Amino acid sequence: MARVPNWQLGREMTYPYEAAFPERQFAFVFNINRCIACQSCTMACKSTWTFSKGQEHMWWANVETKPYGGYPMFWDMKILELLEQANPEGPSWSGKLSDDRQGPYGQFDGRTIFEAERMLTPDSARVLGYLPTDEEWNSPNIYEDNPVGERGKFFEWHKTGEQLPVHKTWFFYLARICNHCTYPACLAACPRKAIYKRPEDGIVLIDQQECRGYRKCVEACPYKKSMYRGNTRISEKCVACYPRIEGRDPESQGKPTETRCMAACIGQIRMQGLVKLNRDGTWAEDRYNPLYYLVHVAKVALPLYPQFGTAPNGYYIPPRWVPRDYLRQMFGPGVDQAIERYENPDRELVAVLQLFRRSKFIIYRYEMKEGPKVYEGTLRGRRVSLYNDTVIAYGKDGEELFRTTVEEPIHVRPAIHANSI
Amino acid sequence: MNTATRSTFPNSKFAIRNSKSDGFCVEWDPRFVEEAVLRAVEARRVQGFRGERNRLYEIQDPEERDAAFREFHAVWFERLNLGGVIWRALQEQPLILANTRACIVAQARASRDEGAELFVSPAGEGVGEADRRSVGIRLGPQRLLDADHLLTFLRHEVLHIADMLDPTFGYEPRLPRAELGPAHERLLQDRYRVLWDTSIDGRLVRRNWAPPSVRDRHFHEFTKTFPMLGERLEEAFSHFFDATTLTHADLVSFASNPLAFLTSFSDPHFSNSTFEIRNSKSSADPRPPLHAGERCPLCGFPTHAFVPNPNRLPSEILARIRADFPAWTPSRGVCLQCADLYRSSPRSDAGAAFAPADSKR
Repeated sequence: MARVPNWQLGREMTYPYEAAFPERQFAFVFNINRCIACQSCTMACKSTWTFSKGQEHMWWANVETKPYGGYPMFWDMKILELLEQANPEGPSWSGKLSDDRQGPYGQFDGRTIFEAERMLTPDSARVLGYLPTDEEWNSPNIYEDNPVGERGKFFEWHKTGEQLPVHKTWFFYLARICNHCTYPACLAACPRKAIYKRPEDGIVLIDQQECRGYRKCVEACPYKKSMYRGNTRISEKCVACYPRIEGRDPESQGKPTETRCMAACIGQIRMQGLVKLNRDGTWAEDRYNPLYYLVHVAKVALPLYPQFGTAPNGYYIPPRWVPRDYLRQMFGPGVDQAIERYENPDRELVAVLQLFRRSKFIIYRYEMKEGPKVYEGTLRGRRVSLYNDTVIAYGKDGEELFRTTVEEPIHVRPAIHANSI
Repeated sequence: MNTATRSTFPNSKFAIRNSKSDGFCVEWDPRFVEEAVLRAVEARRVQGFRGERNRLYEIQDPEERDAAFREFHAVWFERLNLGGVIWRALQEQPLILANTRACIVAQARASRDEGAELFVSPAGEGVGEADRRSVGIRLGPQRLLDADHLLTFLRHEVLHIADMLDPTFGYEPRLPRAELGPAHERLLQDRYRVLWDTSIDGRLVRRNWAPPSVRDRHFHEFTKTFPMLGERLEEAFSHFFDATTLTHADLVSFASNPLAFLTSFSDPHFSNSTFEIRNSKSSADPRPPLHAGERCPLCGFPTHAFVPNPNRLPSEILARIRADFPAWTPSRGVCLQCADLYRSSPRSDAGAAFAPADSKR
């Protein structure tokens, strides 16, 4: 086992292979506060990649209702339970939040799925995991919209359960795709080395010629985003719509384009990009890359279950109405700060949040042009000012992709229009 | 004699067909076989399996490759003796071997679908009774990894089939229609299921095929199903658990009217008053909680959905119910629909205040 740096854990950890980092890394930010679970992402992916015979149960992209929902059923509860057994003293974080990019969330002191040696069965296994049953894959949207009420009270929702800062009756939608992890558990577990991470963009792929259906990747991936196809007897997973990322898809016009699930997002919760990495796997300073800004400057976007140890490249702006202990378990110690900043955004964050889904092309850089003050008031006891700033998005070659303003432009439809009666 | 040949299986090209008794065979769903083998190989850390299997991926023609995989997994299924437990459970029931021609073992979609069924095809000229019948067993493939538990489960399931084939049991596929509607039909089914399961596991315990602790589990279920039997529960339970010969008619008769059945007992302690059906609208006596299929004391409709703990209903709702039903106490239970009605009644009253005067009555 090699020792590799994991900035999300704030320490080195063990991993079956030496660390190797791509030039740029496929990454994304999902703003859960905006997700309405319309499943447009789910269907965009399904209709592009998994519509064939034998793929009926496959949903590379899915949206599940938390806390009860999950695809496969209870995937996170099961892996958290295994991790708890591997950490009988309790998995915990130490240290403080900081601006140190080697450990912005402090340090995770527990064992990751790669470090739970005593739990591994058989002993030769490299990753702590489990193989879901067919039954667990059968209901991709189970418990949709099922809320949690007060403990011990049945058939009764809290009377003021909808009031912030934390709802007493709650659920939220968690949109998920493969996290194209920096340390993929699927890759670590594959006995045939059929899984690889592309050096140019960090996308994790299964070589369909090499896979022999051992299903070790299915067992190992803690997010359960590797899936076995019964009729070909080969495992498959999200390919990050790589022809679009490469700009080779006919729709891409030669420009790096966001994935189908991102582009289809009705709620405008998604932004995807390619972030530059340092030699130690940390994100290289790229101040005006919107993902870099959201993760490392504003710190409103957090990795999903960082304690698993795979260094996932999917980041989430946590839902502000959900009890914090639940969110801390899911997104780590940065939750309180992230929500505080999201609820009280500064001028730049307000502007960057306008970049979500204004274009299908990948944004490499943004620029802000200050505009006039358009609102002043009080919100939750704080003075609030809103400026109609303009934010400009640039593509790979520095070309302007679009520009938009904080105030949504109003378009007045002419009296005589296309479908006038 | 154990032979393995191929035969056509519903919804798939090939199935493994085993024959250990004259005229009777077991057909295995290839999908079930493959999944069971893959899980067994993993659990038992079988050597040599993967290398052999990997070579099949080199076959270019998809259909040929698929057939090769099926045959390969079938061979390993035999080699690992994964079907042995199922064979054993079947062979313990001569009635099944003599009166059916095949058992089809397939993968259960979910654990709640696991079990055995008897299938009977329509009568045809020249087709014998036994040839029309087949047994279907649905299981999760992971079940085969725990042979002891599986055997216990299967013995219970196949004894149901044996009863269905036993002329002295006199099985009828349909229960009598309940005059009081579908809710009562479901109630009758539930009661019948409890009685039959009780009788079957009683027989299994006496053969040492099930642990004695099964008795407690069934008594608990029996108590929940027949709370109206009061202090005579144990006696009635024993009547089914310890019985050597029971018929379908006995079970139906008891399930349809447990009170009438018990009054036929010679014991002078049994009387109508002991087993009186509750008339919940008029009585204020403390009574045991209601059970699925009984009538809600407020609306009077039979229901399977009672509020789990009416004591926990908000006090204003309890007060509103008592205003309409002074004799009602939470211990008497209330259905979810009535609870919802009373929960929303403040809003209805508030709405009524704004309604036009001529609509208020």
